[in-house]
Amino acid sequence: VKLEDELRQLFGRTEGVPWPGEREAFDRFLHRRARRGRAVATAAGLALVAVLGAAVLVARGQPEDRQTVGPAATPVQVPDEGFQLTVPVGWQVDRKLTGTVSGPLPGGPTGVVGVVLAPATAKPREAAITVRADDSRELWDAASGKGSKRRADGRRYLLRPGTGPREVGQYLLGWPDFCPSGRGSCHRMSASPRVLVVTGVAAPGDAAGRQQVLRRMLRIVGTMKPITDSRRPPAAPTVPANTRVLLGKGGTGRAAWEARIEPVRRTAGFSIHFPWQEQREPGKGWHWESLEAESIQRNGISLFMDCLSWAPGSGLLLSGLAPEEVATVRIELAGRPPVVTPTFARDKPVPWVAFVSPPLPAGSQVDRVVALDAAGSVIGSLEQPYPGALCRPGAIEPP
Amino acid sequence: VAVDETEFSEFFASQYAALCWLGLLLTGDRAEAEELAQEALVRTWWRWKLVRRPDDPASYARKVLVNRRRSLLRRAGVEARYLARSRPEDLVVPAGDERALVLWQAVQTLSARQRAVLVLRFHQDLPEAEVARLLGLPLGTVKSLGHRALARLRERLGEPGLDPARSSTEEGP
Repeated sequence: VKLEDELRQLFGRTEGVPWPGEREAFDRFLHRRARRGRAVATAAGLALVAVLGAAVLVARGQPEDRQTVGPAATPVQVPDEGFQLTVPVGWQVDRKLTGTVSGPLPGGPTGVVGVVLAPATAKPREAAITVRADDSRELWDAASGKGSKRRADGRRYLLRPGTGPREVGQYLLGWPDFCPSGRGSCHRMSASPRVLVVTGVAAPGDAAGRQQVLRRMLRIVGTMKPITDSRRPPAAPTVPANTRVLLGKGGTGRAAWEARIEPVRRTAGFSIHFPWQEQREPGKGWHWESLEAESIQRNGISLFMDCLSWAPGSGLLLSGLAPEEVATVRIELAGRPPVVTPTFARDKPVPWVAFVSPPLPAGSQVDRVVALDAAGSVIGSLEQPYPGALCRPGAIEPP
Repeated sequence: VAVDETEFSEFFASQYAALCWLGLLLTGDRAEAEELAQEALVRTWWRWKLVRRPDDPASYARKVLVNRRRSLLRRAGVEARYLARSRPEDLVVPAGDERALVLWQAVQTLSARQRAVLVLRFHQDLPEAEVARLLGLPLGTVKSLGHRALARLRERLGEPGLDPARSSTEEGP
């Protein structure tokens, strides 16, 4: 069965299937519609209420905040799990927890995975707060699910009741970890789910002590800072959305091209224009894709393909962008010698260089595309970017 | 806005589930799907007098939904996209067998625009030119996105050991 047909079948399974909660949906619709109607009239009033409300909240929150990050509070780092916590005043680190560091694969390295805090004066009685990381998907779902709240930085957290007579409660704080630099198989800006679990215990009958522990736990949740792999990696260099730069021209006759950075609908992108075809069929002689700055950072290349169906015998054209240090791009083809193409546009006001291959034979199969610096060292590569033979003679391939 | 409420409520009943499913296919998230469907229907209601006669109102609602999804994506930025990806999947497309389930999971690893192209092509049966118009992209880009999406799915389906939640193919803004 062709994949396209499988997709049709899969998507087609939704035909005529009722949607859960459909009965209440019309009521929600009516509320929403009424709300929309009132929205304009009440917008100004709501804004005022919001400002006043925020002012009250800030005023109320200040004393608590000051207490939380007072001068006696001590920061403690757990780099293996990417967090720093502030030990509350009057508390100290009782011990560190070691174990398998949370991560996408089982059997990861061993390291410090959390800490246990205890009051310095043994009051509240039998009190302790454990902070540890956990990569359970179930806990992540709970932390970001119903009833959860958001910290100022957007991270979600949830308080769950304690289990057993000693446990005061448990906070789950969403704490994703980001792909380390240089790991080509994952997307650096994407993150894996992980939670920090903050569990408090105290003597069962000590109501005041239990409340105190709960408040300390909330402070810890509120002041926890991301370090190491829980920090979002710096964004890849990019350009303003309205950037228009002609990177270069090349080719001849029907295979002549112009490579550009230009916007479509306020989004910056890389485009390749084929003037011969564009003149013949306006609108069909160019190819644009949004800039994948992150992809360039990850693989050393952002690759585009075009089939020159209007230039018989010319076949496939590969083009794209690479980091500025890339001097050449080697295109490895199945059953054919590799093609090395130099990069250009180094003098242009964009943080990349561009490359455009010579027209490759129709039916070429691309095994690998490698970005190399001037010394021939590999900056990054793409394996089998387009599976199968490309641009069959006589057939029009995308685009 | 003078609208025949009976007429519209019938329209609502006939389209709500379909719009939700379309939203789910586009987003992979139940709550977001319902949000998109509700928003599309509210906007359709406000323009009911204009869209009910000359146009097919269901088609109008679908267009609103797709456009809304597109503009939300544009506004939300990378952080929201990552959050959207990380949300639990509490509803899946009704799948008859394991292969369909695997395919659905693979579809969810595609970038938002790749998925949109596939859904509009193979669920809505729209020609590529119409998909391009609806997504506001050049035709060549739509073809390329579709081609890449299919290639990515083939790659995914050929590598059952990969955990789709761990990598992605997010594109630019």
